[in-house]
Amino acid sequence: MAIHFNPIAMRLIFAILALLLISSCAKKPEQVNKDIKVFGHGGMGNGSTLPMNSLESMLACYHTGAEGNELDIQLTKDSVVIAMHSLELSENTSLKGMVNSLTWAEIAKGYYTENPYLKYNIVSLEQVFQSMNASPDYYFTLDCKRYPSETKNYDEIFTEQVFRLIEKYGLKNRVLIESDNERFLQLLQEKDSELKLFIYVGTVAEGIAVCERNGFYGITISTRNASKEEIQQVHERNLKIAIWNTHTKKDNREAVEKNPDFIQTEKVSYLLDLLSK
Amino acid sequence: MKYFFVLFLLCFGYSTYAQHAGKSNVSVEVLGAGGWWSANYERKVFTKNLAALHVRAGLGTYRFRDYELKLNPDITIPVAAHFLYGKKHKLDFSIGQTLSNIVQLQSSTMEKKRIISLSAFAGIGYRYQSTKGLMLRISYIPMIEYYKHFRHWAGVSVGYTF
Repeated sequence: MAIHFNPIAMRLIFAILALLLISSCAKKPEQVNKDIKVFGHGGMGNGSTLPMNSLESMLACYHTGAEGNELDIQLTKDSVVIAMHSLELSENTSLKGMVNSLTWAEIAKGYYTENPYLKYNIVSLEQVFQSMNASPDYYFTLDCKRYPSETKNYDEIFTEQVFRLIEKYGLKNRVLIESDNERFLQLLQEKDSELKLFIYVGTVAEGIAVCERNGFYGITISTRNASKEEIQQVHERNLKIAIWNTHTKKDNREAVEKNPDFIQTEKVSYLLDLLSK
Repeated sequence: MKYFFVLFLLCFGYSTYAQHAGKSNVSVEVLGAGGWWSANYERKVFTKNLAALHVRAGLGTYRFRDYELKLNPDITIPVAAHFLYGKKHKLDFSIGQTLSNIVQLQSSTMEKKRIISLSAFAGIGYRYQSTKGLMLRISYIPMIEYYKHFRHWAGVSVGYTF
């Protein structure tokens, strides 16, 4: 059987391969600070077949060599802290309703439904700490998603539960806590002034002001809203800065050039490679 | 429905003794019954005028390495019967099942385990297929995962008929 190749199609294939080769050889940033810590965004990021905030995704992030893991946390109706981004569970799980309208026993029966046949479990923060506490150098960033319900003293209970788990697993020095709510962070600060608290803001100037007013540890901000110069200003004030929204390779290269302290990336392997880690 | 695999094997068995009955094709399906992708072998087992019955088996995966980065691939095996109508441009109705074998963490024991599940799917689509050469198919594929969870899905296949 003779196989005939269409010459136009062959040229097209070679052109695509050449483009792929060129794009894979994109220049590394001129200045690379290897002290930048690489955190997986919800584990392996939102491009992975492993759902964000699933334990499988966080463990894959750990085994890939990241130095930490960012995860979103919420409070259930019965005050259990779970790893979950979505406010409405039907967005990406087999459940319906909001996290704060269901008990942990009800939520634990659910599973992620992002891809066919991949039935990964929803996990609590305690399960995350239990499973990933072995490495003494591994960090966690807890992005506290506050969705107050009719629960009285919601913030007080939420902060108490988070603090209890940090204490229980001895993770005070390895947990960074971020929230867009100043009062929420103040409640945590009242429990322990040495907690590493990050205010989540829209501008660096706002972040600096909140941190200096409260003595918080640092700022979490989208890479789109922080320039290299602004990050320098943050460092001059002895504050830390974590940036996120680094979806593409270009985003990650640009983020490295800005020299933040932490990058919460969607491309863990690429960023580790970029920083020669 | 769970006896579909047996029916499928019988059809395949029949087809191997009925070489005169039809042709084969190999294809790659993006998304589709295999999940994200699958490689498939298909054989015509029955034909009458413009109608034909084909059976198909595939092999797909999501990840070759598990969450500990060990070689431990997720596996999906879609099998289906396709009812076709038309000359080169065909209507393609299908029904089938996918056996999935996925590596995941058991939340009760925190241990790694391979979870085997069976899911059902149907398909309706358009297929271009001649007696030899290029085969193209685009389908809407609603599925019932684990016979519990309904999902809208779709797939695009490119293959070769011989």
